[in-house]
Amino acid sequence: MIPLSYLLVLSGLLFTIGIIGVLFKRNTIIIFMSIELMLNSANLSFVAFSRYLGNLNGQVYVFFVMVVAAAEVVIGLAIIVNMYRHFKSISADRPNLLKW
Amino acid sequence: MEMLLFCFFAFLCVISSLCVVFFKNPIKSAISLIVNFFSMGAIYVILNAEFIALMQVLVYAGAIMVLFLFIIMLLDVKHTAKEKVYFKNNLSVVLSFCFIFLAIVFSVATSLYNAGLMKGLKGLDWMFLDNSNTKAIGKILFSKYLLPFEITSLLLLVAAIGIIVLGKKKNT
Repeated sequence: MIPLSYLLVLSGLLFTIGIIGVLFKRNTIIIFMSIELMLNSANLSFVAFSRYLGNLNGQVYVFFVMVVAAAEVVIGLAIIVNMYRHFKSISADRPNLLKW
Repeated sequence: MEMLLFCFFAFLCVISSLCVVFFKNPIKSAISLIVNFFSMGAIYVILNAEFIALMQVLVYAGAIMVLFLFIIMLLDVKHTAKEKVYFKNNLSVVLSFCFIFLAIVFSVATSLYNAGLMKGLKGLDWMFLDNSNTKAIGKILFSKYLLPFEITSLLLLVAAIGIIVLGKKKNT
């Protein structure tokens, strides 16, 4: 039996790598992949707690998180495609209409 | 044996997610994200969550990554995404990594300690009571969580309509 703390540390590591990706990358597609990494690490801690507390609700939450992640990816990639059509670039620096 | 498998797949997970963030080419990042999803699925299998592992491989590694790769190849981003480098030295990356990771570990550890969960947790064999994990999840999903499940279908419908609206050409 794997200790719970190992799973939580792994989940925290993956979440931190995702945050680093969101903060330091400029390519919007890679930012999106980092968001997927963070959602996955949250799923991992859900499953770990569900296993160790003997409660299936955590796995049902993971199911809902996956559905929301799928919808979010579809909409986000459509926004990226529109951004590419408009700016001819997918860098996150390019849209600056709201800056002053 | 279980521990050995867990360590292997956790190592694979961390390495591939680092590759996702630090590769320059988005296609290589996408491939390493697929590796990451598969190793997460293996960890779910080790945790006796077979249904979640299956969903992970089918939905993430199957559907979502196909979408990602399709968009990357459609947009030909290798020429368009010239990255401006804001942080020339890697010190800021490492420092912020350590800070965020320590903050997460500290907050999780304190909340676990306050809940009295730090030790004495033994996993139960409850998932095999119904002979299969999938069956147990199906039962709870269609009884206790029936309303959220139906709202999920509404969410997917909204996403489908939204992508039709967003994908339409503006000048028609």
